[in-house]
Amino acid sequence: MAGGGSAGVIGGSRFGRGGNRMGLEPAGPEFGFGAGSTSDERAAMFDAAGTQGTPAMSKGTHMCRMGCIAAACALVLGWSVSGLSARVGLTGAADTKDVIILVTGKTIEGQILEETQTRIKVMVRVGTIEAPRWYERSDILSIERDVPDEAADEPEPAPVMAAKDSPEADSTGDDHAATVYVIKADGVFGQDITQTPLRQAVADAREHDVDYLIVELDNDWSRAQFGGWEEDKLKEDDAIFDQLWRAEDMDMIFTEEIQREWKKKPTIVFWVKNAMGGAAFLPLNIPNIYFSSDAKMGGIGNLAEIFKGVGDEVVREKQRSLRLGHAKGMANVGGYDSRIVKAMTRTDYVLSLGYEGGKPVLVEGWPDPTKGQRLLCDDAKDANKDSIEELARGEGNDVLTLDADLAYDLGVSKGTADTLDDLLFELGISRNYKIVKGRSDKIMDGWSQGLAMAKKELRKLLRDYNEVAPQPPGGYQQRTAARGSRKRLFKQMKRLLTRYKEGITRQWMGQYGIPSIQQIDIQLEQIRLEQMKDKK
Amino acid sequence: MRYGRTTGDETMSTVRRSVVHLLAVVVLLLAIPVGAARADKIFLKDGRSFEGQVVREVNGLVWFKVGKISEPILFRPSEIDRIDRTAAPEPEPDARAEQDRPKRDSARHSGAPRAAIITLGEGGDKDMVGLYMTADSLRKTIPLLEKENVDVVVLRINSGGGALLEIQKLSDVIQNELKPRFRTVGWIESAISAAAMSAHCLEEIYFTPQGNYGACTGWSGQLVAVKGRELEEVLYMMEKISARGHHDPAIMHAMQHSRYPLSCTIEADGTVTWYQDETSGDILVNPKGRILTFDAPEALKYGFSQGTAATYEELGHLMGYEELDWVGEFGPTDIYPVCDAEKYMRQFRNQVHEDEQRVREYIFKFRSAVETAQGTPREDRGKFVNLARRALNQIIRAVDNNPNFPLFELNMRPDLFPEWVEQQKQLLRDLMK
Repeated sequence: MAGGGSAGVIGGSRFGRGGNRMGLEPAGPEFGFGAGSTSDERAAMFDAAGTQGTPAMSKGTHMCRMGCIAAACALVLGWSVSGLSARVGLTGAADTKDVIILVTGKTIEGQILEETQTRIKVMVRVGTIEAPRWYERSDILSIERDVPDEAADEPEPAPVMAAKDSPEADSTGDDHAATVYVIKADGVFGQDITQTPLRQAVADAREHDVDYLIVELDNDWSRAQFGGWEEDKLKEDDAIFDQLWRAEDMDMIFTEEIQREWKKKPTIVFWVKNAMGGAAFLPLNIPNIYFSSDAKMGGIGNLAEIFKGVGDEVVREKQRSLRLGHAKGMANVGGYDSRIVKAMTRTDYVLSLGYEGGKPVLVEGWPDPTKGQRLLCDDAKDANKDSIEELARGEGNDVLTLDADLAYDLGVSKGTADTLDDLLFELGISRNYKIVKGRSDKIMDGWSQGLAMAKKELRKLLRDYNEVAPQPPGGYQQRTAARGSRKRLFKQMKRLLTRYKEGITRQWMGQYGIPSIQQIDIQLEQIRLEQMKDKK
Repeated sequence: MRYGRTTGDETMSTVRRSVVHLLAVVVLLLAIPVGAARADKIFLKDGRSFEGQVVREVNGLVWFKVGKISEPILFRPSEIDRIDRTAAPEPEPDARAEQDRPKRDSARHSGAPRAAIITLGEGGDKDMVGLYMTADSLRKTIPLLEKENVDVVVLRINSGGGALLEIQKLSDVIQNELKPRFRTVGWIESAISAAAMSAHCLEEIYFTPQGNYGACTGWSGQLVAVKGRELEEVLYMMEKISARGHHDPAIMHAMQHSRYPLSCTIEADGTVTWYQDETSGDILVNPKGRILTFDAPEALKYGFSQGTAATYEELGHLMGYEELDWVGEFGPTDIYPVCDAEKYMRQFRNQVHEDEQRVREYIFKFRSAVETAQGTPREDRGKFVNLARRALNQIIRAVDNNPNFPLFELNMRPDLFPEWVEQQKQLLRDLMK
């Protein structure tokens, strides 16, 4: 039998990290679970078996502490972080650099900022541009530290402004520059972020034959989903799994249509700033995801509670199973471990994270601390159920909500970027790119504005319809005129509903009593019949 | 005839007798006219062997008719150790279908095999089994496929399920009408519930990367499960359909009800042994209390699918073809060539969709026009009777396109629809008397 749907929001639980991830801003304290510490460092310092953890304090971290304090001072004094490092070097030893050789043969030069069990953070220097970047130890062939830096003898480059302060450069390159097209997908998912404007924006990008198509995803996570106030924000543990079906309306634009319609296929990148509810599914179809440092991806954790209290449990379980099948399919297309999706969607699924050969490995079930495994999400049963204190502090773990760090650890995100420049650096094109100024902003904004106007107009048309009455003396002509007005109003409603139907929810229509297209067609037939019956 | 083997020491007299017997066998063989019944023997890697006839061979896949069993069994290359043949394998036409099979144009039929893709359901709101994925429409594609000399039919399935009533009918069309004529494979984009149950008679199943298959629990109304006797009958129906597709019935059990756990063991040679419990197999596939839905990697891992293909070209390679002639043309939004049968399928679904959207309008128009005519003097009734007649014709046309339409949209048994139409026509005639 066909699967049903549920549009309700059921508060779920989320897994969060607590504290802010250290980004390009100066770091906070390097110990404990406050800002700046990574999961590896926490695991190293807080061994559940009670044994001495591997100190995260290494030369790299020491350098990080020194460098970060220096960076904080530099910003207070008006110097840039990268400018300072270019003059002094974070090790305190002038004229040296660290050189990392990857297994691919690629050489990375810069300064090692942090080191953990599994990865190394490097302030990578390319020409006059610097930015921090993480590298997996498993991808590293060798590390040479404090190599004499001949470039330090060259005249100092002009201070480079901190990336956050600089206006986004349109181009750094020449005629062979990589062309980049950005689509800003913000607003309510399924209403503002929907297939018609996305398809038009992608078509515009195709006209420019771009090399990189970046979708900047930042959906509104508020009660505006349900026709409510956009200031009334939803919580991270709120969930709308069934927006999956709206994501399925859109994913073929990126997985099929681009493959079919573009002569030269672009690299598609999803840059996640906020992907909650159905928006969490869309990037999973694409192998290139980057997070901003405060991004969240989740809000789909109500699958185990779907249809609760309705019918028989075996049928409810069928509904969950088929939905999870669809969701896992998206992760399979993007090349992600589908167990991540399961952990994001079901509160009764236990998943842990371990490491083998420096690579993260998912483990179904409870973690074995002796193997360095840690719990990602528990079964939400009894004492394991998230308390309101945990939820309020973003420390729940009944379901998985991805932030930048966790997304990177699990291989969902390829990196973290807070600005477009950062993202282009992560993509390896920051030295030679050109931003293509297409019409995507106009298209997306135009749709949102059109949708808002359509909703307003529909309510007005309905009010006008209800006020139509034959004018005095109420004879045949007046009755005919009144019917003509009603027909005209219904046809206008029908045109708006047809044009914007994908963005207008049944919930909104019910809230305002707007008839469906089918109901309008019946009403039009009714009016026609009345006119046929009427006589002068 | 069968070959045997003697064991033990042989005396001269035994040898002489053997030679006489051998000569007799040779004589008998020479006396047997070409084309008479032969006995091939297939030896499987698991130690089993069967006597019968090789019916068809395609790229290592062997259809083998065992003894008096009417349906040939499909064996995969990974299962076969060797085949002993009495003669070169010839395709043996299914006697039942032989008289129905049109003569192919041999000139057009030379060269690479011809393959066609037909969609069953297209997702979204055009996917319901019984309304958009129907036995009747699938049957109607057969003459179109034969006209285009198709050898291989790919059923690309994208449906969230639907009516229990349609499952056996769809399975019968696939089993009895498609499979005897064409190599018929499934290419699963999404086959949930009744869609999976209908496809389950296919031996060869491939997935798209996003594919999903299962979740076959029957229900009605407010998520009320099919229970008791009715459940047992559906389980039995699916056990028989599983046999058609050579799937272990334990798999479909686990897709239908949460009381059936499922585990399996994957042997070194790739064969999979299934168990209807959680512990007998090495791998727990579905715990008790859950309903099974395969995704593409799982289906492949457990040998349920023969591979995952994102494009039709990949599918062709997975099916073992170096070259395939894909029948049809590309439209601007197509990801595979569209043959005439697929064009018909799409038109069918589009018409069903329009009728489904407008059926309430048709019914309202008809009833209102009749009521108005009844309340109007005879001399003024004509225009309302005509309106009613037009609305009735729209309903009739909807049912002509989809014979299931009365059941799902008019709340009426399909076999009672013609009688209902006659009654309405009589009513309209009476109104004009």
